[in-house]
Amino acid sequence: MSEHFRLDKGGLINRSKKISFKFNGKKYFGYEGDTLASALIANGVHLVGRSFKYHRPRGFFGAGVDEPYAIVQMNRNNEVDPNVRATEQELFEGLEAKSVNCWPNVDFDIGAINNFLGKFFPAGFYYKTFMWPKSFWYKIYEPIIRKAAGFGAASIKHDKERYEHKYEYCDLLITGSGPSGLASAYAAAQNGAKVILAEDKSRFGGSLLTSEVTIGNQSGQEWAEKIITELKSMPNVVVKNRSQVFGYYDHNMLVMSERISDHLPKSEKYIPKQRLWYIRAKEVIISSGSIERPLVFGNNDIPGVMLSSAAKEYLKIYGVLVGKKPLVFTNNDSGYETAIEFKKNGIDPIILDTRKDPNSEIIKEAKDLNINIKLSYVVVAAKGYKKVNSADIAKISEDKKKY
Amino acid sequence: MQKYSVFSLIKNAFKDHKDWEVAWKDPTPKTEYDVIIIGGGGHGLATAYYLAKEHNITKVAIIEKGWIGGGNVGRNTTIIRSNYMHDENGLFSEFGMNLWRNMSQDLNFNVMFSPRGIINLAHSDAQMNVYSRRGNSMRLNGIDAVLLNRDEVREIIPMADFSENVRFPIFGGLMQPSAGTARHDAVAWGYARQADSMGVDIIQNCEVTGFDVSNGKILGIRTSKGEIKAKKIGLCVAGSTNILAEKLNMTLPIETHLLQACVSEPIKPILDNVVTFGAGHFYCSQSDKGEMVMGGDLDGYNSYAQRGNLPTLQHVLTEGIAMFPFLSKLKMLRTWGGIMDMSMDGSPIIDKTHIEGLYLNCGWCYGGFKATPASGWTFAHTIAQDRPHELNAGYSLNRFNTGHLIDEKGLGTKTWIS
Amino acid sequence: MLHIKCPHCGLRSQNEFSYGGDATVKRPELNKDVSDKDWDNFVYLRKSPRGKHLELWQHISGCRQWIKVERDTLTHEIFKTLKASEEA
Ligand SMILES: Cc1cc2nc3c(=O)[nH]c(=O)nc-3n(C[C@H](O)[C@H](O)[C@H](O)COP(=O)(O)OP(=O)(O)OC[C@H]3O[C@@H](n4cnc5c(N)ncnc54)[C@H](O)[C@@H]3O)c2cc1C
Ligand SMILES: [Zn+2]
Repeated sequence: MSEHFRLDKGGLINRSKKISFKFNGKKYFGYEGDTLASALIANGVHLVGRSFKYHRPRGFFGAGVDEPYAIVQMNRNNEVDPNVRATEQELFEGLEAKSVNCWPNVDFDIGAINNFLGKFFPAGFYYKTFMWPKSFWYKIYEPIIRKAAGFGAASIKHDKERYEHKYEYCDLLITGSGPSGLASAYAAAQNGAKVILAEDKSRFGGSLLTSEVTIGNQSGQEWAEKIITELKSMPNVVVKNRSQVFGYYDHNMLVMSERISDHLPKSEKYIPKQRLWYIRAKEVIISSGSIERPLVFGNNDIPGVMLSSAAKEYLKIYGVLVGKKPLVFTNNDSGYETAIEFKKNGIDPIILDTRKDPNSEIIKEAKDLNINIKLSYVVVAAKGYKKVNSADIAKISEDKKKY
Repeated sequence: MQKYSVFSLIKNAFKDHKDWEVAWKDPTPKTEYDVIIIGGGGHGLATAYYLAKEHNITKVAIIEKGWIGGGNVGRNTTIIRSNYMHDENGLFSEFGMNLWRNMSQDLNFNVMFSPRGIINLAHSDAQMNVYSRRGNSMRLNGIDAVLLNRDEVREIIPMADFSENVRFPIFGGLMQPSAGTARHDAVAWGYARQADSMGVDIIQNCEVTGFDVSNGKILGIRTSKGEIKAKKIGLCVAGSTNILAEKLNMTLPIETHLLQACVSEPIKPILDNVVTFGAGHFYCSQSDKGEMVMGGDLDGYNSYAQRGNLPTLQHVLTEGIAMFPFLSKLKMLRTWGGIMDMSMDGSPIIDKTHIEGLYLNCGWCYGGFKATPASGWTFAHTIAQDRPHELNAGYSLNRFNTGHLIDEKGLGTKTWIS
Repeated sequence: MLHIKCPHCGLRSQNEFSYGGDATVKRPELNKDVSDKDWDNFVYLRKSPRGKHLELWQHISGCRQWIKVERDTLTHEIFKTLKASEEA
C-alpha cells in the first residue's frame, strides 16, 4: 500500500531509509524517524482501536505522550508489550502491532453494540442494577463484567528483558528541551553548573521543531541543533533523549525512565530495555511546555478529530497530512499556525474561530493567504462513525444564548 | 427513596436520566443532634446507617471535613477477608463477611462484592506450619480455609515464580476462598444514600476544630460551620485520629503513617484472586477494569502527607516482581497514598472513652476497609447501648495498659523493626 | 526520598537510615517502682503530631549511630538533626 498522505518533501524523517512494519497483520511502509502513528496516518489508517466501555472507534488524538486513544499491542523479540501508545512508539524494521479491545477485529467489533445501548449504561449504571436475583451476580453478571476488563493482553511468561538502575546528582535538572529548557541548560552549563537535560521525545527542540520562529539569525530548529551539539560537548552536562521524568519526590529526588531499546529491532547484542534514573537535583526547572486542551463538541472522539497541535506536528516532523480537507476549530491564534501550514502544502483548510473579532499578525497572514475563516463559529458535532466525514457548524448568536 | 433496579434504569433511560433523585442531600447543620459521627469515611457512614437501622436513632449527623469517600475508604485496595487466627479478630471479621455477602441487597446499591478468594503464599516449611495453624484456628471459628501445596498454588496462579533456584520458592499457601474485594466508593455511597434516606444529615466540607467538654461529659463540637450540640459523639476519623485526640487532651496508642498503593494500566483478565507475597510485603489483585492493583508496606516514618515517597514504592514493586515476574513489563498508571491510624498491636479500638458520651473508633492499620460493616455495626451498638457488643469487647482502649493485646501479627506501627 | 544530614557523616539519602520513632518519650527510670500507667505511656502512647516531630533515626548503612531528627510530618521538611546525646 502506498503512502497517500505523505508529502513529497519536508519533515525530519530519513526518507532514504524505508521501513516495513505490520499492523493488524497487514504490511505497510514508513520511514526511519516515523512513529507508528505517523506511519499509519501516512498510509491513511485512522481506525486503530476501540474505546473501553462503549467500544466506540478510536483513532489518533495527539502526537505524543498525551495520546489517550491509540493504544496498541506490540510484539517485539517474541515478547508482547501491552498498552503501547502508537504516538510514542518509534518505527523499526519488522515492527508488529495490533489493535486491542475489539473482537473479532477493529473494523467489525461486536462490543460496539454497547455504543448503541449507551443510553442504558450511564456513568455508574452497574451500582444501580445486577442485584437481583442475588445468585446471578456471582454466577453471571460479575464474570461477564470481569471478562470485559482491560485493554492489552499481558504475557504471563517471565519478562526476559533487562532493566538498569542509575543514581545521579546534579545542580540543575531540566525537564524538556524546548526553547526555555535549552536556554536555561545553556546558561547554567556555561556558569559551570552540573546539568542534566531530559527530553521525553526522540528529538530535541520541543516546540522549536514545529513553530516558525527565528532566534537571532537562525531558525528555531537550527538554533536548537547548535545548542544541543554544544551542550553535548560540555563535560558538566548530561543530555538525554527518550527520557521521561515521571516522579518528583521529597527533597528534590526525581525519577526518570530512559527508553534505551524500545525503538530498536531485536538485536543479538545485549542492550537493556530501559534505565531508571534516580536524580537528586539541587534545583529543578520544569520546562515541559504544554499540552493543547481539546474543545468540547458532539462526537469529538471520532477518528480524524484531533488536536490541531498534533496535526501540525505530523506535518512538520513527519511530512504527513492527517487529512486533505481539514477543518480547524479554534478559540485562539494557535489554530491558525496549523491552518497556514496546511495551506503552504497545497491543502485548503477552513478555520472556525469562536471569537468575534480577533486581530493579530498571524490572522492577517492567514487572511492574506486567502484561507477561509469563519468568525464567531463553532463545531456543534462531528459526523461520521469510523472516520470523521463532516461537521455540523453554527454561528454564535449575539447574546451567546443560542446558536 | 427511589429503588435502584434494572427497571428503574430502563425507565430513566427513556427520560434521558433527568429524573434520578439525588443520592443524598446537602443539609445545613441543625443546632443539636442525638449523635454526631465525626468522619464521613466508610466507618462513619456505616455507623450512622446502623444507628438508624438497628437502633432507631435517626437524629444523627455525619460531619466530614472534605467529601464523603475522600479519605481512606476511597484510597484502599479493597481486600475483604477474615483469615485471622485470634478469636477476637476472626469472629469480628467473619461477622463482617456475612454483612458483606448481603450488602448490595441490604443497601439496594451494588457494591460489587467479589468473593474471588485470597491466597497467602508460603516460602518455607516454617511458614507452611504457621499457615496450617492459622487455617485450623480459622476453621474452628467457622471461617473457610484451605491449605494449598505448591502444585495446587501453581494451578491457580501459574504466573507466579515457580522456576528453580529462586530466592523465595513457593512452598504452598493458605487460601480463604470466600474472601475477596468490593468496589470501595460504592460502599461509601451505598451507606450514605441509605443513611440519608433514614434521616441522617450528611454534612460535608465541615471540619471539626474542637470539642465542648464539661465535667467529664461531652456537650458538643466546634466546626468550621459553627457549634453543634450533641448527646453523644463518635470519632471515626481514621488517619486524623491523633489530631482530634490532641484537642481532647488524649494520647492514644496510635501513630499516623502513610500507606501507598498503585495500579498498572488495564490488561485483559489474568489474575482471578487476591495474592499476597509471604516473604515480604506485597499483594496484588486485578480490578474489574483490568488494572493490576498493588500495595505493600508503610512508608516507614510518621506522616500526614497523604502522598508517598519513592523508597517504599520501589521496594514493594521489587517484591512484586519477585512474586510475579511478568509484572515488570507493565506500565504503572497511578500511585497514591492514604494516612493510616496504626495501632500498637495491629488491631483496632472500638470503645467508650473516659469522657462520658465520647466514643472512639480507630486503629484500623492496613485493614479497615474490610471491617467497614462490622465496625459500623458494633460501633453503632456501642454508642446506642453505651457499652461494647461482645464482638468488639476485645477492642478496648485500655488493653495496652492491662496487657490484653491482640497482636495478630505483631506488626503495629513497626516502629522498631524496619 | 528524604535527604538526612547525619551529624557524623553529612548529608545522606534516606535509604541509608532506619526509623526509630518518637524521640521525646522517656523510659521510666530503672530500679524504681514504675506504675503500669508509666509503662503504658512509654511503650504504647504516642502524640504523633501533625507538624514538628522530634524523632530517632539510625544511620544503619553508615556510621550506625542513632541520631535525632526534627522533621515536619506534613511537609517532610527537616529543620535540624542532632546527635542522640544532644538535647533539642
Ligand atoms: C493505600 C491503602 C490501601 C488499603 N488497602 C486496604 C485493603 O486492601 N483492605 C482493607 O481492609 N483496608 C485497606 N486499607 C485501610 C482502609 O482503607 C482504612 O482502614 C479504612 O478506610 C479507614 O476507615 P474509614 O473508611 O472510615 O476512613 P476514611 O475514609 O479515611 O474516613 C475518615 C474521614 O474522616 C474525615 N476527617 C478527618 N478529620 C476530620 C475533622 N477534623 N472533621 C471532620 N472530618 C474529619 C476525613 O476527611 C475522612 O473522610 C488501605 C488503606 C490505604 C491507604
Ligand atoms: Zn552517619
